[in-house]
Amino acid sequence: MRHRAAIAAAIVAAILALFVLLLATSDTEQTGSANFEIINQIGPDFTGPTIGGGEFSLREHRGDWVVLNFFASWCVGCRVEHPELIEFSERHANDNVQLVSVMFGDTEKKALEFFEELGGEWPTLVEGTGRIGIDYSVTAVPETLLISPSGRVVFKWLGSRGVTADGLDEAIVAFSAPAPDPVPAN
Amino acid sequence: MSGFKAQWRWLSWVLMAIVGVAALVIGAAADGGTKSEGEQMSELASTIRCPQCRGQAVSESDVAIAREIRADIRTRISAGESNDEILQVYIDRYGRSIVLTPDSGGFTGLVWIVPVVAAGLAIAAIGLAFQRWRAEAESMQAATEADRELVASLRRKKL
Repeated sequence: MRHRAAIAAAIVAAILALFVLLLATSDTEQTGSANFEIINQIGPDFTGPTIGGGEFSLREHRGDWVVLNFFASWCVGCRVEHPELIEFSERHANDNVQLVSVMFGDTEKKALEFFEELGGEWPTLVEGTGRIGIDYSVTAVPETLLISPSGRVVFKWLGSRGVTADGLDEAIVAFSAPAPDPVPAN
Repeated sequence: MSGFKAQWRWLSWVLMAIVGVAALVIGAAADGGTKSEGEQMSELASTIRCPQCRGQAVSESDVAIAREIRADIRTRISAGESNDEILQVYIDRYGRSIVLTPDSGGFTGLVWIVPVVAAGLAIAAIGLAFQRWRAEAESMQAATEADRELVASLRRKKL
């Protein structure tokens, strides 16, 4: 009788241990964590009308460094970083660096008002842009991605303080540098 | 008569098992008829984790990313994409943790299997216990003349 009780207890203990093991090894990423699945992948192409009547196509900017900025008018960080983006766009008015902004989680009207209020002369997409954000694994604005001339996403900025013009330039310089030669084996 | 009783008892167990299995099969197979796009969107949105929230489904959250994902799901459903295809898009963009339901394959699949196995073991243990108690009860012989004599003598002593 004791023997049977011990077997039953062992079975219950084994099942409990299995559950504990499952919980211990399961993915615990549950909250607002940044998503970097897109890094080192070719940036998904997108095309759309821009404020002012033009059209922007990412494909046409192969060979340029592209700074892809996701913003919303209600986002405090977006307002904080906007003067930095203006500074950055003015610095690179004549070279192969392209800044493009994409509205995320906002209305076209408010996004237009945002640019009218704060300025900015670079291509900005505001129509049907939710899909673009999802394609770039956006979690919360502001998010900014750096796409290399080969079309690969190389860096992603997150956080309520947004990006700075100097930070963007430093990243471009860092990722422009050729990879170091492999260390010869002894 | 006892043979008829035993047969009837077995038949009732078999009938109960058939009804139970049929109910499970119908419940599992039924899709509730044709769903509207809104219902399909809500169902799918309840299985996708809001990337910005703590353990909340996209269907329950009102943050920007949840609204955009709901709108995107609706667009994809209208375009004829299946639930599996849409889920795969989100897994590709945000990783496997975007799906709230555990994976049915690999080690994580044990989450589905272990409770079923545990329930089966528990039912089997209860069945065995009942069987043993019944065997013990049946093994008890009817009181003999000697037993009755013993009880009567004890009663007399007590009086």
